[in-house]
Amino acid sequence: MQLEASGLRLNRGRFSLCVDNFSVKGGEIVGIGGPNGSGKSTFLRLLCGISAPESGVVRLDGKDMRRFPRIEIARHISLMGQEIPMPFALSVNDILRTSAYSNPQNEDRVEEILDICSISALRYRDYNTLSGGEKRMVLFAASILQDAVILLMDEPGTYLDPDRERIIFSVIEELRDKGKSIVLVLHDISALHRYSDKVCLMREGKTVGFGPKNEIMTEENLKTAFGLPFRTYDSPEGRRFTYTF
Amino acid sequence: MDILKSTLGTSSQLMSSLKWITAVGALVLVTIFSLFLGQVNIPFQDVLRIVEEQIFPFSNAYPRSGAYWVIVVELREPEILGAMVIGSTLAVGGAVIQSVFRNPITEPYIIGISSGAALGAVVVLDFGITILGIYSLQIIAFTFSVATVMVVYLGAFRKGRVPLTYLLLTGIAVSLFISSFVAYLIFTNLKLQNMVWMWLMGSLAQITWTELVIAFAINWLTIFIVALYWKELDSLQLGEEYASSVGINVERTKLMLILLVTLSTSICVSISGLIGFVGLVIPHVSRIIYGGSNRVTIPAAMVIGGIFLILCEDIANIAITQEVLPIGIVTGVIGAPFFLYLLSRMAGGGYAT
Amino acid sequence: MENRMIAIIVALVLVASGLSFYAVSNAGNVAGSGTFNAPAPNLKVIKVTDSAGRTFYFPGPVKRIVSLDPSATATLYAIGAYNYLVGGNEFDSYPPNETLPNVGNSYSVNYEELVNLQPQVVLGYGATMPTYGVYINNTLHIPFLLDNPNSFSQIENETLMLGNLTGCYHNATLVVNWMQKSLSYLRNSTASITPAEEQTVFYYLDNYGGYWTAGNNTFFQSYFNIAHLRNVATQNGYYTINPEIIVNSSPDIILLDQYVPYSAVNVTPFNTTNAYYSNHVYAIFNDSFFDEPDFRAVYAVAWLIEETSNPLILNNFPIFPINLPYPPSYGWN
Repeated sequence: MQLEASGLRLNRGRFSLCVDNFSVKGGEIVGIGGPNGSGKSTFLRLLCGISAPESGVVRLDGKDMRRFPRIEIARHISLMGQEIPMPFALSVNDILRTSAYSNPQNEDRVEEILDICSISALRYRDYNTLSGGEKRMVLFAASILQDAVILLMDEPGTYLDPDRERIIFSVIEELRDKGKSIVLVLHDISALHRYSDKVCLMREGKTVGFGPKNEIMTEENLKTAFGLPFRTYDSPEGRRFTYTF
Repeated sequence: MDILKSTLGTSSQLMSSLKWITAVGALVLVTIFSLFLGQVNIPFQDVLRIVEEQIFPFSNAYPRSGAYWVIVVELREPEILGAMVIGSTLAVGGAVIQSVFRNPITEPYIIGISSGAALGAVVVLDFGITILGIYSLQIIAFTFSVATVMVVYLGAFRKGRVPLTYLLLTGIAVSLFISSFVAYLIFTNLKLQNMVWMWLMGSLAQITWTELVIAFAINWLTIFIVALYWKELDSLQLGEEYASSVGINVERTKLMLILLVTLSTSICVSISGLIGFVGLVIPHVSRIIYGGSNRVTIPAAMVIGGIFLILCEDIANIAITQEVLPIGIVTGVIGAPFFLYLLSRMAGGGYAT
Repeated sequence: MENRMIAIIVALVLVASGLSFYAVSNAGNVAGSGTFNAPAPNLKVIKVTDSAGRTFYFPGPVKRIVSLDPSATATLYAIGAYNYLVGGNEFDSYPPNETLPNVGNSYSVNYEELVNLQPQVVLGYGATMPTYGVYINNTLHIPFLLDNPNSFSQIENETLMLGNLTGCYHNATLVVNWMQKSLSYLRNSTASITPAEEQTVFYYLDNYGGYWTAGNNTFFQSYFNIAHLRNVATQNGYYTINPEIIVNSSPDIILLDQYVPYSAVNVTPFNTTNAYYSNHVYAIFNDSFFDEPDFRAVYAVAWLIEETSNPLILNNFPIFPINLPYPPSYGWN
C-alpha cells in the first residue's frame, strides 16, 4: 500500500509548510529529519489526515484521503505521536484496547505484542505510574497493535534506554521486512541514516531533499537543513556517521 | 459484552464481579430501606402492604387512598426513584465530561447547563409564568439550559473544530454572563429570594411521577448510549490527536457526547434544581473503586451516583425534625469527607502521582 | 459499529413505545388546572375564589386546614375558626404559643407531615403561585388557596373568604366592619394635615448588601398614605435605594425594621438627616403587624400616627368586637 503527498501547503501564522512530493511504499522505511521547528511533526499529521492541508492532496493507495472516513484511515495508517498523554486512571490494558478501535485484535495478538515489546508485566498497571520510557513503550505497543499497513512514528526512541531503543528499532525493521510502510521522524542524524531506506530532510517547512538516504544525506544537504557544517564518515558496515565542527 | 465475558475467570476477575454484585445489591437495599424512612412514622406492615398493592393492583392489600398511601406512593417513591435517576445521570455526565475535557475538575454544569437552567427558573419564578401549564418552570429551565449549551458550543467553533480550551473558557464566560442576569433578577425581587435560593440549592421534594417517567426514559437511554461509547471516551482521555489516529471522528463524537450529557443533565436540573458535588466527585469514586476505563467507570458511576443521592435524600428528610434540608447541602456535607477518606485510603496509581 | 447502532435503535424504540404507553394510559387522568368540578347545583356547596382567580367548591364548611400563611392563621383565630387548623407554619406569630405541627414556611414544605395531617385545604401566600402550591394542588390533590393582599380592601375580601370557607361568616363580617371603622377613624385623625405639613419618611427595611426600603405599591406605602407621611422612596416595590437620595431628601422620620439596629443610623447617609438630628428614628414595635397583611395591620397605621402626629390616637380607638384570649393588639406594649 502506498502513501503519497503532492503539492501540500499549510500556513500557520509565521510558519508555512510546503511539501511538493513525498511517498512511501510497502517494505520501506522513510526517515524525516531536520532541526526543531522544521515542520516534521506537522507534516506527519498531514500525512495521516489529522490536519488538513490548505492545498495539495494526500493519496492513500491512489485515492484522495479526504474521501475516507476517519475509521477507514485508521485501519490503514497508525500514528505514534511525540507527546505522552495523561489520562486519569487508565491501565496499560485499557490503552491497548483503544488502539485496536479500528481493527479489533484477539487476546493472543495482544499478548504477543506485549511480549515482543517486553512489557507483559505492565499490562494491568496504571499508565500514570509508569516511567517515561515505559510509557513510550506502551504507546509503541499500542501503535503496533492498531495493525495498520502504514505506520507513522514521531521520535519513537525518545526517553528510551539503549536496550529498549534497540527493541523498538528491531521491531520496526521486522515490520518493514513484512511489507509495512513506515515513516519515522528522527532528529538524531546517525539514527536517521541507520534505520531509514529513504530520507526526507526538512528546513523551515520546506523539503531540502527526498530520496535514497545516501544520496540525500550529503554534507551539503545537511548543512542546508541544519545550518551547520557537517563531516560524514561511512563505516565498512555501511553506516554513516556525522559530526559537526 | 466484555463484562459478561470477564465474569468468569481469574481471582481478580472474581473480585471485580463481587464488587459489582455488592454495588447493585447496595442500590437495591438502599432503595427498599428508604421506603421505610421519613418524618412520619409509618408502621412496617403498612409499607409492605402498600407496596404489595402496587405490585399486584387491586389485590385489596391496602386501600388506595389515605395519608399513608399518599405518603408512600406520591411522596417517598418518587423521591427515591428521582434521587436514583438524577444521581446516576449527574455522575455519568461527570464521567463523560471529565473524559472529553481530559480534566478531572470539570462537571456537566461547566458548559452552561446550570446557569442556563437557573436563568430559566428565575425568569419563571420572577414573572410568574404559567403559560406552559404546571410544568412551566421545568420546561423553560430545560429550554434555557439546552439553548445556553448551544450558544457555548457554537461560540467555541473555530475552523470546523471545537477546541477544548475554547469550549471550556467559552462555557465559563457565558455562565458568568448569564449568572449576572440571574443575580440581577434575584436582587430586584426581594420576595422571591427565598424561593430562588431554595431552587438553586436543589430539592427533590416536589418531584412527580410524570417527571420521573420522562427522566427515567430519556436519562437511562442516554446513559445506555453513552456507555456504548466507552472506547471513544477512553481514547479522548488520551488526547484528541491520539483519538483521531486510532480512528475516531473526534468532532462528531464530542458533539454527540456533549449533546447526550446536555439533554440528560438539563432534565435533571429542570426537575431538581442545582444539585452539586455528584457530577464532580462520583466519577472519581467510581474510578478509584472500579478502575479508570469508561467501560467500568460509567456503569459504576450510574450505580454509585444513585446510591449516594438516595442516601443524601434520606438524610435531608430526617436530619432535622419537621424540616426538609436542601439536598445540595447534604451532598457536600456527606460527600466531601467521604471522598477525602476514599482518596487517602484507596487511591493509588494515577491519583497518587 | 453496526452492533452499536442496532443497540441504540432498539433502545430508542423500546423507550418510545414505553413513553407512548404511559401517555396513553394516563390520558384520562392528566392533572387539571386546580379547579374542582362543580357538584350538582341543588347541594348546599361553598364556593370560594383565591387571589390567583381560581375557583374551588367544597361540600360544606372546611374543618381541617393547614396554614402556610401567618396572616391566614391570625384571621382564622380572630373569626373563631382556630380549632379547624391542624397544621401551622414556622412564621406564625399570632396567636402566640402555637402548639400546631409545623408544616413548613414560605419556601419549604414538609410534605409528609402535610399529607399525614389530611387537611381539606391548604392556605398559602405569594405574589405568584409558588411551586410548592402547584405541587400540593396538582400532585397531592389538596386544594391550595393563594392569598396575596395588596390593599386593605383585599384584606377584607380575604377575611370574608376565610369566613365563608369555615362557616364563620358572621364573625368575619364583624372583623371587617371593625377594620373599616378603625381605618376611617384613623383617616379622620390625619385629615387636617395639609400636603405642605406632611413629614417625609424613610423606611429602613434591611441593611444587608445595601439600603433596602419599601417604595410605591407596597403595603408600607398604604400605611404612609393614611398617616399622611411622604415616602422618600418613590420607585415601585422593594429595592436598595441610592444613599445620595437619603442624604438629599433628608427624611424627617426614619423607621427601622426590627432587625436593623439603632446604630445603623449613626453613619452616612443617615447621620445628616433631619430625623437623626431631631431623634425621630423609630424602631418598628413588632414586625408581624407590619409585614403580615391581615386585620391587625390597622394597628401598624395607628402606631405610625401615634409616633408621628397624634400621641393620643389610641384613646378613642374602636373596640374589637370579638372577645379573644389574646386581643388583636397583643404584642404592642
